[in-house]
Amino acid sequence: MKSILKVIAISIALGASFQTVVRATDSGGQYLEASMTEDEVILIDLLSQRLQSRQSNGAILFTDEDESQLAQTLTKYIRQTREQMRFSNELLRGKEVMGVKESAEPGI
Amino acid sequence: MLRNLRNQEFNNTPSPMVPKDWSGRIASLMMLLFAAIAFQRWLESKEMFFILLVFRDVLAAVYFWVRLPAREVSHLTLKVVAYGSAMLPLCYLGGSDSSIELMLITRGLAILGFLISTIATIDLGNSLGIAPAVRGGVCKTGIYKYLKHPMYTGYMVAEIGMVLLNPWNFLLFALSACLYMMRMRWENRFLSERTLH
Repeated sequence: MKSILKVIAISIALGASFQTVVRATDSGGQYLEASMTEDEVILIDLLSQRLQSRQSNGAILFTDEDESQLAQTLTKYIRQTREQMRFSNELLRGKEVMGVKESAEPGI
Repeated sequence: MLRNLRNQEFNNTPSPMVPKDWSGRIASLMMLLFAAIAFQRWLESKEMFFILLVFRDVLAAVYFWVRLPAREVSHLTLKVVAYGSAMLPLCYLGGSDSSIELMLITRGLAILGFLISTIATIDLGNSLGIAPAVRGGVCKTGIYKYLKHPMYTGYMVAEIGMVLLNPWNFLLFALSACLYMMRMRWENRFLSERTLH
């Protein structure tokens, strides 16, 4: 019984390690897909639809390098947005704790 | 073998044994509450530290539920300090792991700490207790062969990661480390006075 539990614990640790390594190595932004919020998914979809329609019209053609750059920019944007949101939430929470009744707009 | 002999020795000694370990049931419910809080913290922060804490707390809750009745328990003050110390990791603040190196280090420490403390919990089995008590012999098998206090070692390793993640956590870590040291000293004294070391 103890051995089985130890195997489970080690499996969980290995799973967690694997997830960490995957997240760390895949810096191109793909790992974000798994943890994206609904708004982020909608944003990406809209952007890709617009790009596809432009490409099919022959207006813009993307090279692999362009796509890679775009992915990096998006990753950076999402990360910054998340940090801003987290900061705003902490600010709001802090105001609530201090008993200040004025509301603060998140993200401003 | 030695441990079995010790257990037999304790079991044969006439003592005012409590028929059911109600304190174990209470401790089990407390651990489930801690697990629920840790889960809530994980939902808020998405820090791996908290989700690993959930698994360990649930496992500890199961062992508390079925644990052996104590022949002798520690003083109430010690119990209060022990519960306070067990609750402290839930208070750690999250942080942004924007740097990949930082994420690797903090998560690596959380995983290592979790593994050490979880294996220690499994090795202690139904002798597990938050505050020191005499439940059979002193555990010297498994990870206890190599570390005297693997549970606290595991917690501290994982908590160092939380300090790296958010420097404000250092205050909590300092308090937590002091409490672990106190508990270690008390446990050593309590067990050496009452059991065959």
